[in-house]
Amino acid sequence: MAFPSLSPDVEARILADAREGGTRQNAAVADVFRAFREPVLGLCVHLTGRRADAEDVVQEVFLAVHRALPRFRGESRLSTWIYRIAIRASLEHRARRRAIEPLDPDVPAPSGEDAIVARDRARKLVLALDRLSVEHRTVLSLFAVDGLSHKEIAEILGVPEGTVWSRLANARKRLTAELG
Amino acid sequence: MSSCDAFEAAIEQRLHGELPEDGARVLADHLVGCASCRAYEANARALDAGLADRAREAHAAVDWTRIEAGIRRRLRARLWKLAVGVAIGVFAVVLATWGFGAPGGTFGVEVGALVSAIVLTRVVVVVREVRSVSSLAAGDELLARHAELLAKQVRSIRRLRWVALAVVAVLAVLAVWATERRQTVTYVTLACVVAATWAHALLVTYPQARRELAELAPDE
Repeated sequence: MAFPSLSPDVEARILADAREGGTRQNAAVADVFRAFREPVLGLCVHLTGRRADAEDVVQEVFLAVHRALPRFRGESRLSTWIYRIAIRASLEHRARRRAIEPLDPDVPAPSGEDAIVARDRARKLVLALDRLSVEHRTVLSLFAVDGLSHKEIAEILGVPEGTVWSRLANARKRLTAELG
Repeated sequence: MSSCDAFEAAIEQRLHGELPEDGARVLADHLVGCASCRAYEANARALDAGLADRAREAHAAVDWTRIEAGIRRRLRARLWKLAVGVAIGVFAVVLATWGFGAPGGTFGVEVGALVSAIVLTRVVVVVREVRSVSSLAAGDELLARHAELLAKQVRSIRRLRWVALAVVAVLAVLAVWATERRQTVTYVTLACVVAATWAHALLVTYPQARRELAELAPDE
């Protein structure tokens, strides 16, 4: 499922509304929420390892967007900025969680033998992803968000375009090694 | 760099629909004779499918109404905090003004200064948060920049812990030497506020920042 991205005109309208404050700002943030909630959730699920944590992070991300959107000057695409916020919020959330408990992936309960095997595979994948370095986990998670091109991913990470492919290939090999 | 590294990057480009036609032809020729790259591609497809499944499950299970309600609840809580902050600020100004005219004492000034310091500290924290989020739009390397900020935070807390301890000690001494009870109360309250802030920074913020930093930059 590829997620829609906002056209520059729509982004400009949202930013203008956000700067007006009050109900127009709330409406602008609601538009941003509807446009980006699903890809942001997908990204946060991979970065945090748990859906419950990802849902918390999604709330934190859009609260931060609500607060900072009027000050956003359009130095980048709105989507780039939001994904950058999401990555940072996920890292902070992980650091908070580590103080209390280790990761226990909330992979859905299965029924049937195939489903049990699939669940076991999914659980191993989550745990292996969790053991990767932040750099590798982040690049794999960004490429797992449908509709994000390598140019956008390079912009989100702030690295040269050519770097993202090699970084992805290295992350993939590391993940494979972690999976044994 | 092994001879297959460039082809692995090309496989990634192909999987994400971004490999140019001439590159696709070269890759196809290479894959015919390279079992290692074929295995890499098959594995990459399986991993992508696993990640996509995980995201799909999350999307299917999520209750957006509950998340929206959570955001609204946090926004309302933030407004309440803002209102309380403004009320405390007004209270501090009133107290400080009252203290100037009070015969034989500056209790109002002291309490006013105390409350103003707390409110101002909170305002500075909020403004810094907003500026920090806004600055994320700039195109510097995200993870390196984040690690740099965390390292700075860790160093600041390390440096300031002794300053905070000294301030608490000075306030405690002033509380003991105070001639009026209300001054003692003020100094003790100030010492408690500084100590609580110090404890939070040292016991919550510092370990969290170090954990994050350890993930981002293990060599720091």
